[in-house]
Order: sequence, then structure tokens, then C-alpha cells
Amino acid sequence: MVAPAEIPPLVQVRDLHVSFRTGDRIIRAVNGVDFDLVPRETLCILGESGSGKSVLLRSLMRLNPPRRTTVSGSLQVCGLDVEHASDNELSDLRGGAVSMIFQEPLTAFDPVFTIGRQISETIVRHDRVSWSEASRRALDLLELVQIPSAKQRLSMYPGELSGGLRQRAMIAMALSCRPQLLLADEPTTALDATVQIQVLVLLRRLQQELGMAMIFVTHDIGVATEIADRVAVMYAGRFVEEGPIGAFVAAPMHPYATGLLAATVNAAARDIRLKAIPGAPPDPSRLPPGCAFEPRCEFAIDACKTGVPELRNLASGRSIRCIRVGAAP
Amino acid sequence: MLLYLIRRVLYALPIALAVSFVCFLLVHIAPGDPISSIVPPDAPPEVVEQVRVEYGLDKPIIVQFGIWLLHILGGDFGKSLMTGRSVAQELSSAVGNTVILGLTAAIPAFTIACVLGALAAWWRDGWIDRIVGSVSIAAVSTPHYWLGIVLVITFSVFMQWLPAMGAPPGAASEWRFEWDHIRFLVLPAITLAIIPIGIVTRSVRGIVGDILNQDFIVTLGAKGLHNRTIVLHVIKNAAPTTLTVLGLQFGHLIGGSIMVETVFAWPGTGFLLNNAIFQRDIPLLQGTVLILSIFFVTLNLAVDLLQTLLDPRIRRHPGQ
Amino acid sequence: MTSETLLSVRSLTKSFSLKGFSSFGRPRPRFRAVDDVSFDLLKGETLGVVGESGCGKSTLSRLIVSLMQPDDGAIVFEGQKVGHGGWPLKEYRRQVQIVFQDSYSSLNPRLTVAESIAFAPRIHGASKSASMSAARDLLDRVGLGPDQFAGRYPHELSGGQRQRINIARALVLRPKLIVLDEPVSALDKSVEAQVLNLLKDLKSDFDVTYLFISHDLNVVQYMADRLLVMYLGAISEFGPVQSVYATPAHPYTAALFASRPSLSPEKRHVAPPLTGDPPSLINPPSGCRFRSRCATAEPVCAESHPPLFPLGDGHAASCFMVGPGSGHSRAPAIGTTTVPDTGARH
Repeated sequence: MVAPAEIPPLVQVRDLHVSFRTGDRIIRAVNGVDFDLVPRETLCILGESGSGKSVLLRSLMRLNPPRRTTVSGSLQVCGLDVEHASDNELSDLRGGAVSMIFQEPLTAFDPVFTIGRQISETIVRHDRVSWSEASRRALDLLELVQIPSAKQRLSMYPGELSGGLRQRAMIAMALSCRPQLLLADEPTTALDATVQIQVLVLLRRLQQELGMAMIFVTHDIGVATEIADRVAVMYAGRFVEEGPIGAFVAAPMHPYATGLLAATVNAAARDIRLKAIPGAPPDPSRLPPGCAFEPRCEFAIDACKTGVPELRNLASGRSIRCIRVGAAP
Repeated sequence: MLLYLIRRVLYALPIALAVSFVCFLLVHIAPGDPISSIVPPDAPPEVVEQVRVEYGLDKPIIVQFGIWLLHILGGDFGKSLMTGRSVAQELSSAVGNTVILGLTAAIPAFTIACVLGALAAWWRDGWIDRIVGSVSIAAVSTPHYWLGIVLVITFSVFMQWLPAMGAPPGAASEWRFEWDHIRFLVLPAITLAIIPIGIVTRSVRGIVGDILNQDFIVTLGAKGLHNRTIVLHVIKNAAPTTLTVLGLQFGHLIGGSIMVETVFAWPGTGFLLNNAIFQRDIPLLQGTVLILSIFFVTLNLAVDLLQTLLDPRIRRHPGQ
Repeated sequence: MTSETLLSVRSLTKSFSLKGFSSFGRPRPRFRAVDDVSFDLLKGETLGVVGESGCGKSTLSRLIVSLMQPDDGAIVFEGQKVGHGGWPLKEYRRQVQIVFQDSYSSLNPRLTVAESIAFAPRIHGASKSASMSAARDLLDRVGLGPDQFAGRYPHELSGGQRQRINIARALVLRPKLIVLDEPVSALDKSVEAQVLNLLKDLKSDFDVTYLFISHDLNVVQYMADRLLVMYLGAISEFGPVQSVYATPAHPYTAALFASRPSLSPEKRHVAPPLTGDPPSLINPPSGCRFRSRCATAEPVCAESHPPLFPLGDGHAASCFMVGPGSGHSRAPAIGTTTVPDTGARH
């Protein structure tokens, strides 16, 4: 869980809680998340809708709506205390050392500015170069992400590109100031299968070439397997399991993670009845006092209802939030 | 793009023609005989008939329309029955006055409304939003004539700061930067502007609010852009729709001038129209209505074209 | 499963034109969303339809349930043509139902779920009490206790529960065919499995046939008996699921399968099987539509669109590489049918 002492972590999150006020309800989206990320590492946060994974990602850049959001805990990103940073420090960080790509590139681009202009303005903002220099670098970036006939694409509007090219352009924009950390919020979910794998292979290559760290949010175990070094499974705003991707896919430990893998259809399953997890995730405004997965868990005992289990570090470099797994029989 | 422009202009022509025919027809359908306002009530029937033929009022309506249209195209709007002066002459000074009043009302009003609406949207649900919201509802709900009279009572009768009515001495239909000139405009302009201010404020708040809710605003923040750059993005996105609203509201404002010009006796088209109606001055009425209709058709066309020019998505693929 | 044909699609074609003004005499650009598609749907089977966005699978589903009329071609249901003196549309629509991807927008927000389910029987003349009791029965069959759920409104339910309501509503008229258009794509994985299990159970309980449309190859492999692969409005490959998955004959099918993320970090993709996005339907490549992205395209592929060449056991592919004597260098000799190695498999 904690990075080796010789490399200072790029991201350090301690006991992070994020909640939103909507009307008279309080949505508890993130409920105590701790993790470290070292340079050049890729962490996948795997979770279903409403698990808090996107909120967690956005809080790393303080992008959640400021007036409705309450945050507690500590957040260090690239040496900046994100929660207590001034607006100027924060906007220097955003798009500079840390940048982000989104699920739907069509709506994530401003529709009335050209691709070239939107990439250039980021470069002008952070590197204070001339517009012509920025536009030259934008062209290089489009070539870096393998967009064919890049020069013409610079003067195109987002609506004039295909889905795959738009996401490549979004990646180019995120890379424009050589970030140390790339945050990716389900960037391949809206893409077709044959395009998704192109983007995943591209992202992995760029991450290695540019030496970035990456936090990649997804609901798809297959996508996580293609890109992650480590994976964290999120449920009801907490990490329930965390560890190296290989070990995780081979043998998940938390009952939710096990259930999720078992419920994922694959070639071998054809004539077998799928093992579905019963019920639905809890309402984030009314979380149970104990383990959030307890109501759906087939291994639950009375002790599971009394308190939220700690995330325990196991010897294998994995950690788990369950009192039943790895405990003495 | 040029083809698109020409096409839109061609589309506007039949609309203008139809509108002018309807105006022409309405005047004829309205009860009352225009002849009765020219000849004395006890004139013998032969004289009445003679005047009728003289003015061409004995021919079928469609022929009358044709003749009228031909004259108009030649720049001849006929003579006013009341004053005997040419309608074109009457109109040119009235149109000038209405444009002066309209722009004096619209330019500051629309500027204030756009700023207020945008501020309310930026700080949505904050105190600015609540105040702006209440003020704009109050503005929309204010009747013209009532506000005009209240303003006159307050500023002209009690305080005696501003003239109650009328136009500046000398040539009215020109704009001068002199207090003696402008002070005549203040009250009618405020009265005219009040409803459009409310509507534009509320529309701009909605337009900007929708844009601020879009995903790309988060992207702009995530790129570390300063608020001033984000504002630039918002303006470019909001401009086409806002412009449509402004165009339509400018039309409404000119429409409102019929009432307001009458209340303040401002010698514009509205005032002229009102007089023409009460005097049954048909040539003057037709001319005024036609000019106003053409103004509205042109305004709509201009708004459409400008919107196309401002939106790169439409600009590159007009009509798709 | 019998091999009796329930529904036949014959040379179905549907084109759309782009919206907006036509510019002075120039025709609006048109594109064929579904282009000369023919296949048979057998009674009791689940036919899977896969393909990427723009492949025409959603248009096909709307044509089959008669929400759109084809420009050309016909749909034959139980031996009789649909519409025009054949099946009256009202009766046909009773026999063929559809479930959409978006569970929320396909339900009327102002009706309780029981009223939504009872709506169709009421339209078809059942009494109010009979319709309501049918609705309660179906709620029970899709695993939602009628006492607890009958009076709820769509916004009070989760996505998975709403999709169960849509399935109940599709079943209430006891149709013979249900078109499932991406029924689980909007659901989370843990809920997806519940709904897939339910669909499998209901299929045998109600003796229905499924046309199962999805972009998720794993889900289709799990659900379908036979598979239809579409690309830019045309069928690229057709056949029994096991044989198509084991030996994909069309290079597009092979690439589509090979694009699935691996479930083991040691077997990650080094290079993507295909480059680029699917081309625009407005301006498709001449000849074989897949030609522009195909690694093994040859001049013959530009000349005409390849027909479906049979490969035995009901497996067929629209690729000159499997057409005996087609002129492609990898084509088998006349008189043989072998599935070539498309080289893109993992």
C-alpha cells in the first residue's frame, strides 16, 4: 500500500471524504480513501456507477462543484496540498503537472472552437509561448497521438471528427504541457470495441514514453487488465480491495470483487448460469453503519454490521477491507 | 455560404409581400369609410363618388393592392389625407425618431440585461441570482402605459427634472449629444426598455446557465484556464442564441413604441400610426404598417444571418 | 429448438437523408443504414446481432418491429408478409415486441409500473381488472414482488428494476418474438448478470424467440445460438455462435473478436487489430465496405460487394477470401470450402 521510501509519492491521499448537498440530502460519495501513487505508475480504480470513482478522480484536481461539496482528509498531488491551495496554485497545477481526459470527448470539447485552438490555449496558458509556437506544438501533439492528416484536423471543430479521433485529440490536449500525472475518467467507454483497444494501446505507449503516472477510472475489468499496474476496487465510496492487477485478476479476494468477476460473462460461461450478485448498491445518502457490502454478501456475519472494516495490508502487497477474508478461521 | 445568403434573402421576399398584402387588406376590412373623413358629412353623393374615383377606392381590392404596390416600388407612398404632405416625407422623419428612441432604449437596456443575466447564471442560486430574478420578474410584469404615467408624475410633475412629453425643439430626427436633446428621450426610453430588460435578463441567465452546466466547462477548468478565458468561451457559445433573443426583443421594443410614443407624444412611427388610425388616414396608415412590417422581416432575416455567421458549426455547413 | 422459421428478412433496405435544406437542385446526401439484409430467424432460438456504431443494428431492430417502414424488401412472419394484405400491423405488433437500452425513457413517468405493463392489454381490448392481474402476475415472473412494486413509479426504481419492468411489458401480450436492443448495455456488471439470467429463464417459460442486439461480444456469446455480424449496414458474417467464435471467417469478425480486452495482464495487446474508425456511411468505400480497414484487401475487393459465401453448417461470410474462385489470392479453389486463417486471432 505505502510506496517504497526512496521514491516520494506523486499522489498521497489520506482518509479522504467527499460529500455533496442536494436539497435536504447529503450524498456521501467518497468515504475514507487512502492511497499513494508513485511516478510512472498506473492505478486503475474499478467500480460500478455510483461507487464514487469519478468523484474521487475529480477531487484530485478540486473539480467538484465548490459550493455543494464538502471535503475532508488530506490530498497531496505533485507536491501541492490540493484542498488548501490558492486558486492560482491550483490552476497552475491543472493542465500543467496534472491533466485529465473524459468519457465523452464530444461534450468535453467546446463545440465552437477548433481542436487546434483548444489545444493551443492550454499551451499558451501554462508555457507562455506565442500562439504560433503553440499551434506548431499542437500539430506535433496530434501527430504524437497518431491522428492522420493532422494539419487539416487542427482547424476542424470537434463535431467534425469521428469518436476515436476526438478522443485522440482529447489525449493530445491533456499531454500538451507534459503532465506528470494523467487522470482518465472512463476514456474508452463511449468508443467502439475496435477503437477502444487502439486508444488503450496508445495510452499505454504514451505513458511509457513520456514517463507519466496515470489514474484510470473504469467499470470494465478487461480495460483495467489492459492498462493497470495496480487496481483498486471501489464500492460505496471506499476501496474494498487493492493490489497488483495480475494477482487480482487471477484471484480476487473481497466478496464483492469475487462476485463482480464471477458475474462478468466470458467465453467459458456459455452454458452455466451466471452467478449474479443479488440486490443493488446502497443509497449513498443512507449508508449502512457496517460494511457497505454486507446486505448483498453471502459470507456476512453479525460482526459485519457493527462497524466499517479497516483496509488491512496483506503480506503479498495487497490490501483488503473485509473481516472475513484472510482472518483466522 | 454566399448561396445560402442569397437563398435566405429570396425566402424573405414572399413573406414581405404576404405581410404587406395582409396589412393592406386589414385596413379595408376595418369598419368605416375613409371617404367620410375627407368630405364634409353633408356632401352630395355625386361628390362622394367623385372623390372615391379620384382616390381609386372604387376598384376591386386586388387591383387597388396592385396599383398601391407599383407606386410603393417607385417610391411613391401616396399623400396623407390629413396633412396633404407625401407619406414618404412623413415616414422618413417618423422612422428616424423611432430609431433614435429605440436605440436609446435598447443599447443600454440590452447591455445591462446581458450583464445581469450572466452574473445571475455565474453565481446561480446565490444572492445576486435571487435579486436579479425578482427584479426581472417585476420588470416583465410592468405595464408600459402605467409606468409611463408614473414616471411623468414623479419626474416631470413633482420634481420637474424632465419634460413630460414631446420632442426636442428643431429637427427631431437626428441624434445630438446635448442634454437639451437627450432629456426628452429619458422617460420614453426607460418606459420602453423595462419589459425587454426583464425578458433578456431571464433569457441570458438561462442560456449562460445551460452553457455553464455543460461538460466542456469542467474541461476548461481542468486545463487550468483563468476565469477570464472561460468567460470568453462562454460568450462565444452564448452569442448566437443571445443574439436571436436580442433581435426578437428589439422587435418587441419597437412594437411597444406604438403605445409609448403616444403616451409621450414622441413623433415616431408609433405616434404616426396612432394618429393615422384615429384620423382614418388610409395612405399614411398603409405606408406606416408596411414600413414596420418590412422592418420586422428584415430584422428577423438579419438575426438569422448573423447567428449563422457567429456559429462556426452552421457557418461551415449552412442549412444542415 | 426446432428449425422452423419464425421470421424471414428478405433484402431489407432502408436509407436516410441528412436533415436540412437541399441546396438548389442538388440532392441531399443519402446513406443506406441497412443495405440488402436477408436472414431467417428460427423459432425458439436467440439470434445475436453484433457490430459497431453505424453498422445498422438499431435500424434493423426498428424495421423488424415495424417502427419504421423499409424502402425495399420484406419481412415475412410465420409464412405471411407483414403489412399490405398480409399481417395486419396491429396484430403483428402484438406478436413482436421490443425492449430498448434506455430503461427510463421507454417508460411513461406518470404511470405506475403496473399501469405501464397493463397498458398494452387494455389497448388490445382486455378488461381493466384482467389487465391489472396480468400485470401483477408478470411483475412476479420478472422477480419484482407485486405487492411491493405494483404501485411504484419508474423514478423510484433502479436501472435493473426498470429493465425488468420493460421486459414484463414486452411479455404481457405473450408475443412470439422479442427484439432486445442492447438490453443490458446501460446496466452495471453485477446487475447485468441478473437480467441475463432472467432473460434466459423467461425464454423457456414463455416459449419466445429473441433477437438480441448488443455491442458486447461476451454477452452475445453467452446469450445467442446464432450470430449475425454487421458492418456499415450489411451482413459480414452469419452462423452458429460456436463456429463463428471458434473460426471467424470474415477479417472484420476476427478483428472485432481480437479487439476484446484480454482478461490476463500477460496477454495484453501489443498492437490494435484494426486501425482507424469505421468510415462514414455517407461515403462508404466501393466494393467491399470493409476494404478500407482490411489488411488483406486486394483489387477484387474494390470491384463489387462480396456476396455471402456458404461455409457449411449454416456458417456464411461476405468475403472474397472464402469465395471459391472469387479472384482473391487467398480464396479456396472452386469446389472446396475452407475457412482461411485470417491472421488476426489471438
